[in-house]
Amino acid sequence: MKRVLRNPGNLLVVLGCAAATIAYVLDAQARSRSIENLAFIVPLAVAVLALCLLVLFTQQEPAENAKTKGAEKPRGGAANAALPYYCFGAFVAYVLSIPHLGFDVANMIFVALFVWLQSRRQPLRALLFGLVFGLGAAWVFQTILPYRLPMTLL
Amino acid sequence: MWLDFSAIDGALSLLGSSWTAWAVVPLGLMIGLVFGAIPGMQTSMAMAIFLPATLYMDFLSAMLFLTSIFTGGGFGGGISSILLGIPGTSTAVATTFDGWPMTQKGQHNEALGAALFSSCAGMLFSYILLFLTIGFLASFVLNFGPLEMLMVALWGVTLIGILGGASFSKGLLAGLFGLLLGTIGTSPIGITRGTMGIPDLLDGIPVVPAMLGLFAVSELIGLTQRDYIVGAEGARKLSFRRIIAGFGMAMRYPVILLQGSVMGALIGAIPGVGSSVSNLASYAEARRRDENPGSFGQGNPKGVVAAESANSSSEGGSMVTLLALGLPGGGGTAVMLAAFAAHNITGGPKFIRDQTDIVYAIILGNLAQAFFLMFLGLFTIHFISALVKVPIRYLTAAVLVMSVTGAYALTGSMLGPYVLVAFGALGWIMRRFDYSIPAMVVGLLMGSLCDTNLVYVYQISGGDWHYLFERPLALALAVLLLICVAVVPALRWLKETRRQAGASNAG
Repeated sequence: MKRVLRNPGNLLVVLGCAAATIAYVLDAQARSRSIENLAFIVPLAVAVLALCLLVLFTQQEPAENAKTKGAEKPRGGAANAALPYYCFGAFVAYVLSIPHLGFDVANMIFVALFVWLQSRRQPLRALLFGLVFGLGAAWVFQTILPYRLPMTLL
Repeated sequence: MWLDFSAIDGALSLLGSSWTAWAVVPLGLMIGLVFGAIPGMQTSMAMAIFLPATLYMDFLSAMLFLTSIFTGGGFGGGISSILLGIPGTSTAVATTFDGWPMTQKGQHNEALGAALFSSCAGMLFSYILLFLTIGFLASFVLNFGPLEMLMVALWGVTLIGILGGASFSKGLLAGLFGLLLGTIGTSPIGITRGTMGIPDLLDGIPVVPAMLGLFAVSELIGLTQRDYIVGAEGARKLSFRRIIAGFGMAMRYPVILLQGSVMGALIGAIPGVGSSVSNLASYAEARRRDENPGSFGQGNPKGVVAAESANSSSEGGSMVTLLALGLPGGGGTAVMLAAFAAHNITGGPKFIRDQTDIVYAIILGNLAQAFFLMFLGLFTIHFISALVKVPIRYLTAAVLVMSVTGAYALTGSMLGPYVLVAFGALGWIMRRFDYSIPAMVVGLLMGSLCDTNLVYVYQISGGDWHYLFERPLALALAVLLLICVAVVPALRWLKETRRQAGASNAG
């Protein structure tokens, strides 16, 4: 049991995977119990659940999360450790805002914010890059695609 | 007859009459070179990002565009290995062993030349091999029925899962969970499953946005903690004449070139292994056979030749499984299989039989790409070596915006971007806890195919499992699958036990 609790993050991942698998199988069998419907997914789900157990009980110490492959070391500090979370939050907010702001405005804000978040300096440069790239990318895609993208300005 | 001359004639006509097929090749090579050279950016990521663009191309142009990114990325990874001592991609790890010491000795131009020539030679070899054998392979795999296809797909996903990552169980779990996700939507008998009431999921999870999320978003978010991708290493002075001299250096070792090419092509054909392993295996073999193995790692050009010829020839090897079986061996070929689907083409035996001319056109186009790469690589090394110093924050922001817009373009609705975000989060978690992303992607691609083939098998056999014994090839594949599942973890356990025993003895 100690081994299982040694890496709580991985425990959550495995539990999430197992829960999703069980939910999917229950949904599938509720739709139809025919062999053709379940022949592949039920044995597969059993194998997935067995592997979940195997992963839990054979896991090593939490792995070093630094697949840098020789790239420059991450900038230090606790604030920086949270940076990917902020960046991912900004990314989710960007995608959710597209239907409301359109690709052009959402792109501009996201690019400027994303660049600024990673450096916390030269806000004007980030804003300028956001304006040029965000608007430029929206315009290029709108020109190429045969249908209209959600836009506010273009 | 192994060679279908009428199909070859058709292929030449196709290539001769389509200028777009040729126009996209330099562009794709450039994209591959850039993404390959920048550490952290993967070739498969570049292919996924530019996949939406292929929807507006004919199938041949789309395939040549994607394979040219694949090809460019193969050599691009070697550029940063040599100039900066940082492998741009996992396929260029062994190039660093001698490429970087050569740079430290002031021989970076020769190393780049040797790497470029070896890459082109390896690629030529593997595609010539594919050209000569595809006819035979096609006639062989045409005997495959649904049971054999099911076994091949399961074998492929299993191999990618257990060989591709650090942990056997996590790799396999990622592959099998991917298979499960791949069956979401409408089943082969018309029953909807796992759609959570979302009508857009009736056709299943859109694979390309999911792939973009897994390959690109998850990697890019992880890169945000880095200021610059590479340190303040100054650009090395490049000399065209000395790079050409590097060509000659590679030509002095034809045996190593051939050995690397053969190993690359063979290893590349094994799903889950590919060029990440072939470059290391070829390097190790060249070192083992050399009269002076101690010179390896000290800037011996033979090391660069062995590594680069192998990683490039793996591309042709991986195309064997993709074209003949419709089975992707890794991230890059998974994107190509998604391109097949986007053009309503099902890869595998029937594709080879029905569209032999296109298959030959893809192979011949790739042979030509080797020469394109030689020229383009030669003239763009200056530009690419400067590009690796662009601050990462600009690149990540730009690529994320392109991914989201590309995902929208593919689905024509916000479903694409939403799937991208969901799979981006999933991929990020998977990377953090060391689960195999290529295994999940291949599982996602193969899920529906496996399910459909199993239903066919059930209907053909009437539910009698003795049917397996009437299909010796399928039986052999099933045994192979079980051996893989049993032997690989046993070997890893043995290795780990020995390592621990060695460590405790040393302590």
